[in-house]
Amino acid sequence: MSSKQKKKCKIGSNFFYDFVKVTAAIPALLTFRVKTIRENKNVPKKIKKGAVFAVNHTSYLDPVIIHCILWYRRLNFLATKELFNSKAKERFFKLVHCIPIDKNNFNIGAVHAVRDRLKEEKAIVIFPEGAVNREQGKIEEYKSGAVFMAHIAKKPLVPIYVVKGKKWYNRTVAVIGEPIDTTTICGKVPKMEDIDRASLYLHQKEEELKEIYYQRYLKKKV
Amino acid sequence: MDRREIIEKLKDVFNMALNTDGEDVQKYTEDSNLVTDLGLSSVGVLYAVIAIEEFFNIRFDDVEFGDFVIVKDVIDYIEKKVNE
Repeated sequence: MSSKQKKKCKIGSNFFYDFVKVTAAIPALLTFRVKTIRENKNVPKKIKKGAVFAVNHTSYLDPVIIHCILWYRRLNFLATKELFNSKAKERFFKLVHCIPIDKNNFNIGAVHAVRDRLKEEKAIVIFPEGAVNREQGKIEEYKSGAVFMAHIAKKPLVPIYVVKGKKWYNRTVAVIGEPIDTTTICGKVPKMEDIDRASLYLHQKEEELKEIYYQRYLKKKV
Repeated sequence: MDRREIIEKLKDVFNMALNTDGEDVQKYTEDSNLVTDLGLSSVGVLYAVIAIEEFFNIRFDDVEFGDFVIVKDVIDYIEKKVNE
């Protein structure tokens, strides 16, 4: 594909993505009324450079909620390849910047796609739990993919803890954690066990964000 | 780059991708199975592939897990890519 064709394709893809985002914005904002809490002052108000956002996965609507949180930028989601099981779905999900990933098989194409997009300073959203977790308040074990992707692209890893309101009138709350530099935890040339250790750290961080949600949001309400 | 050099570098890669010390890696042969003998997890395989790309300055095509069963398959693939 020539560079001119690539540019045209990119504009077309962004146009569709922006169209979907703008169309869904008002219903999404009215439904979720997302309240964003920053862990501390070191968390930038807007994270505009390449980063991996690691989010707990509580519902299929999480991508919409995350768009409400990070409204200021285009997002790329890692999505299970089962979502791409027909031509129309494949086209749609690719146009809304989803990257198919096979959970049961290793898939170097997806890793290349993520690394390339991160190097272009784009944002990648990963659900490290690997599947929707219906148990309210419990964070399942994190897989190493998020740390791995952030590490190979040398980009920060931003933990986000999302709590969807139980009733339709409850607000959705998101706690954004301080960006993590993976090299400080696993070193520049890590072994696989260092990556696993960093994933554990990320999980602990999510638990801390959950605590912040209880302390700063729930207690205030009571 | 000849096959012996590839094997030596590959040992460093496996040493990184596996949670083992250097001595264990020396035991593996070209016929060792990546999953059953080396015990690579799915992310471990990805990590090994990325490390191979950086060590050998090559880029893997969209290969799948089934394409590499034993260490020899990986060496053959690297040899082919390096000499392309």
